[in-house]
Amino acid sequence: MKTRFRAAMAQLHRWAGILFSAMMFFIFLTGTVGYFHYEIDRWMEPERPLAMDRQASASDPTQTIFSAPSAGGRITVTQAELVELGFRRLHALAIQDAIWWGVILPTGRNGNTWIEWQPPRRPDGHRPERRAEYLSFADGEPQWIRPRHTGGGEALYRLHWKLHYLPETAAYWIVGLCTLLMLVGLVSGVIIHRKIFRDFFTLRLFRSSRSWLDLHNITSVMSLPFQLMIVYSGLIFFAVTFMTPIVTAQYGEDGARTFYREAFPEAEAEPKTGTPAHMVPVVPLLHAAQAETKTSIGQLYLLYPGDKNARLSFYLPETTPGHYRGKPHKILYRASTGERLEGGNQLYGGAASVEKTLIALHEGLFADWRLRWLYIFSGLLGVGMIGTGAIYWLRKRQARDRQSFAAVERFYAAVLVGLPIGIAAYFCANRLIPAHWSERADWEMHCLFLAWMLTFAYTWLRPLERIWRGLLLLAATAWSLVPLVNAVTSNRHLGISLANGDRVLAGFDLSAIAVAIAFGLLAIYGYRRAYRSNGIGSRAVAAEG
Amino acid sequence: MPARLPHTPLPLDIISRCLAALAGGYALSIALPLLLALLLAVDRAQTTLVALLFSFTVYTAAFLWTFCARTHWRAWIGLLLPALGCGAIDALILSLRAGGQV
Repeated sequence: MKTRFRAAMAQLHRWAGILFSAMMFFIFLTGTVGYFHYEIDRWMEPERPLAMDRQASASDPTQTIFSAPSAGGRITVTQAELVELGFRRLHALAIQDAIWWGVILPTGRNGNTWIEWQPPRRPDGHRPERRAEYLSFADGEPQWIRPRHTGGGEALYRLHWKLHYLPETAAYWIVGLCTLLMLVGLVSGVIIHRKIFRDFFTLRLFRSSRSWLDLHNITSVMSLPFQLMIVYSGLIFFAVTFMTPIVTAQYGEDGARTFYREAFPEAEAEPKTGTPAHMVPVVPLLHAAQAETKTSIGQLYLLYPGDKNARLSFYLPETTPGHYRGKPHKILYRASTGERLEGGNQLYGGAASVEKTLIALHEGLFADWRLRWLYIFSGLLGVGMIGTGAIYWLRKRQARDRQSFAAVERFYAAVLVGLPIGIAAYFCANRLIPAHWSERADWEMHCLFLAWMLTFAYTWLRPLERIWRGLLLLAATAWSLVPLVNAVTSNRHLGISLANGDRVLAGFDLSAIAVAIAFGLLAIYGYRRAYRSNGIGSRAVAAEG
Repeated sequence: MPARLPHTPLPLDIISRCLAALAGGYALSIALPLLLALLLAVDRAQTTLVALLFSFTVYTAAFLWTFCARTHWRAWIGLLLPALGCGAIDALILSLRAGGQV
């Protein structure tokens, strides 16, 4: 009885660790992909026009000029023209009951001009999603386009703390606890490696199960500062949920709202009056705001459109943490009179700016495109750290008998290689599900999980020696299908995006090809060698010889 | 003290340490940062934020402590005693404050 109980506990312990590492792999991979969520959004909405180029003059920010691709060559438009087009369209749509309107100008990442608005809450309290239309000059004339409904890059990166099918609070606690254990793992891991830098230069590739440990150490040490930052700042998101007693001790039950308002003070907008009023022209205000701040403004919002108390907010880009210490965050105007309003500054205290900065670091808010790639690279090293750590754990236990721990090996194969296959399926589903089907966004995500579940079936049906190679080849196929399906189903494929110099769209397809090649190389070379290095291949050869 | 205690089999020892880390660590990572917050003489929003930022480092340290303590009993005591101590002072300060406000 006692031994059976102990055996059961050993199983529980083992699978708790395995599930935890699988969870962290999922969180790291989907989170890393999220650093490109705007870019993925663009790819997943192929109806959106090709990217506009932006030429800012360094001396005078009001002289920003954009050039849009069209059938008859590139068309040049000024910032003022784009803003006017946007507000004219919003007026024409006459969505007066919208809570806010927005006009967004192109950046290197999002590439397009668009308008967006928030429809009011329905009588049942449900808050509808924001709606958007994109400005296209494809035929030479300005045209407004509504793209297909998609979860996009946003749904993909939200996976890493929402876990999609779970209720929000449950997902919060699971992800939070995993993150905490990850931080404990990182800190204790550093302590284990007293000779961390010597270990870093120790790489015994293709030799023994030790190579997996060496790979684990290299990926960890290379990205250690990033890992510590990302895991600690990740925990900050959960702080109020986890450490509620700290908040309630000072603010009483349900004091979280008061706490947020005190810690991150925001000027409250004057309430909607219900008296309609005309709006003053936006462009002169925009020019004044840009002259005042000497920055180019790309996000314009109008709260309570058409009302006497309608408020215009021009958002300044948050490029440095200085924005939390009183530098203006947005410039406010009363839309009916053009009077400048106070309250656009983020006057946060010391601790609040530290908190905001940590959150912004986690989200990569300060990163330009080079730093963004470094984020991706570091995130992938984290993914590699978790993956190689898992395989090392497995290989050490399989040193004597390759067939032991077969279930764990199948599980790990389906997690480590299956999830990338699922993500490729998500992208393909975006192109293959009919564009006008109302439930398409839900089914894109279902496709990710269905494809992933199928890889579990695959690993359990195939003989153990075949699963890694088979899955790696499947992953290579799936990722090479992404640009192919794109080419067949849309006119946003490489031939067009490269010809028009659309870096984001071309970058997406090229990255998919790079991922496919990487999986192919792993399938052909990496796996064969790693397998032989485990001692099984050579021993079998020796036995035959 | 630990000498008189019966020897704990390894699995139970590990389970006990894990529970100590989770529950005892949680108690300490609430009580200690809260004490810091209550003692700091800045406005309550800032002190609460400092405590929240600090609490996860305490939690992490508590995990490390439970697995380096000589016995799992020590692990529990090492977490619960300071947690109770801090918690008592927290409660005292909070009740004094509440009294002062009336």
